Amino acid sequence: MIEALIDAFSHPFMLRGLLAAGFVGVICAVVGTFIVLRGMAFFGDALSHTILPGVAIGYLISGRASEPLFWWAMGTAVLSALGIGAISRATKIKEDTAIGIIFAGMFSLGIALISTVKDYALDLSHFLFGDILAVADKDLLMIAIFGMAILLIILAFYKEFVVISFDPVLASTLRLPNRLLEYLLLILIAITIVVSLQTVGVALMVAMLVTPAATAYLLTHRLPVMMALAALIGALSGAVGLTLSYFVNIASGAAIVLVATTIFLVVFLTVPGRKPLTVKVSSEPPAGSKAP
Amino acid sequence: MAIIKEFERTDHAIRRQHAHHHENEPILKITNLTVEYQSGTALQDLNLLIPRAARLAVLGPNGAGKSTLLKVVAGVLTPTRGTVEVFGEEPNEHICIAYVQQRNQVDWNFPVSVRDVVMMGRIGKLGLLRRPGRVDRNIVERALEVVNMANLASRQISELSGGQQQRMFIARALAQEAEIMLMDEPLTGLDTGAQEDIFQILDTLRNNRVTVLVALHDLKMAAERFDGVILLNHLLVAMGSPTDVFTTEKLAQAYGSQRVAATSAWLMIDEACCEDGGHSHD
Repeated sequence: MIEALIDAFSHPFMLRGLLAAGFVGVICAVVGTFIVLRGMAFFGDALSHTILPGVAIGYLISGRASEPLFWWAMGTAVLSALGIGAISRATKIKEDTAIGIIFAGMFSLGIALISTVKDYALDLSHFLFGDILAVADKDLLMIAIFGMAILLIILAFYKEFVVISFDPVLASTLRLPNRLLEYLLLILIAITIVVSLQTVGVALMVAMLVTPAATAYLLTHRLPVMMALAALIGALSGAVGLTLSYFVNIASGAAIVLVATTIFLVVFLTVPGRKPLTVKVSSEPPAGSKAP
Repeated sequence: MAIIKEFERTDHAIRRQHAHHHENEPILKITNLTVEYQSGTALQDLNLLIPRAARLAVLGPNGAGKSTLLKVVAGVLTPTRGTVEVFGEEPNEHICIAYVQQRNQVDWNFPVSVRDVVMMGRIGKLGLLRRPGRVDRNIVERALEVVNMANLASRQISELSGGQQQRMFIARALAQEAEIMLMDEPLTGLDTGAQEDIFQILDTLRNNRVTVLVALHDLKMAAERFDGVILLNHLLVAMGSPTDVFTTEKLAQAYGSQRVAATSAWLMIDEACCEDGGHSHD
């Protein structure tokens, strides 16, 4: 057993994959904590799909080289995040409807662009579901640099992010730059998605953002503990999922998400109703309450 | 574009620092205030002058603009026309205004403790990138003691009763070192005991010269427990002592004459005011 593991990770591509999966697991989980608490799962899912046309253009211009794809993805992700943020404020249409329209439209555009290439199916599937074993040293460096930057920014603005998530009206009376902080959070989510692109791909991204954080949410009443637990579960899912995919020979992105989902289900079933058991307040709080 | 604007606003706010308090200005001066929503006019041509350390009830029928008034004073809502001055300056320059919104506006399952929430009041003073120090922790503990919640400080907020939730928010306002406290229906849904606890804390606030504006439904409570009332119906119907304001005529102007005439409760309140207004019981 141990020998088989050592043998598996003696392949450099497996070791790189392990590092990528672990690190991406941590970043997604920490950022995902705010996504879960703010009720932004749909936004995260939509945003990851929205970057596909950017990736597609990069793919048409420079082929499968991962560095240009990274920057194309980054540009599209940040623009999409800001665009969705602006649209959901500016129109009469409800936020989730606006997001749905943009998300599906952009995703289709991406598929259309990629489908102009002959034999596109394999590459498309890599964008959709990840290709962790193709992570190169340079990719790993990018993940590490941007991942550290994300974690440092969250650490620096932790108390502000907590307040705008818990009570945006309080944040206003404390004269915090609410709008700026919200956009900063959107950009952090965008960068997280780009960094994780190779590991789990566009279609499974939301699971890495939401599932470990939601699992941790069931386990604790303390936000810092929730973040740490989420990071642990995320990293563990990444490592175990990758190992599993090697031995059972299944797609790595799917294996990682399945491990995370299994952990969630185990916690959900064995820690029954810890949240609902708490004293109910008289009035039902709306999910993801926002200032009017 | 929105981001650039926001940068400018933030930069402006940081450079101007926080507003100065001109002590000889009234704590709150509202001039020709009009607030219009897409759905219609919430407040129209409101003029108010509010003295320091007063405890005022804001009354009026549903949709009369009570919450709107509180939000404009808090500086979280920009008026369509007119001005609001707190100590002679715009409210959104101040961090001494605490706004306690209705309890159902908050996600009570958020993974924070009572102490965490009260500490949030310190963030305006702390500024970006700084962590709470010993001074902040002391202020938070003292605020928790004032509202008699020191023993509940580590509780997750979903484990609190309605009265405790409200007291936690008052503690947060204390930690914010607020000089004006705006409360939107803080007593709704609380039992008499819990309401009594809140009034005791409000008495402490008055001793500390904190000005308190409370949006209310209960006219009787307004008459018995407040220094003055502001009666709204989009327009300012009346402001003054409960005795002066709670006349059948003015109530009818705010609530509609049919409702006042039909509900004996209103008349009862009218009489209660008169009793308060100086009948001796000797």
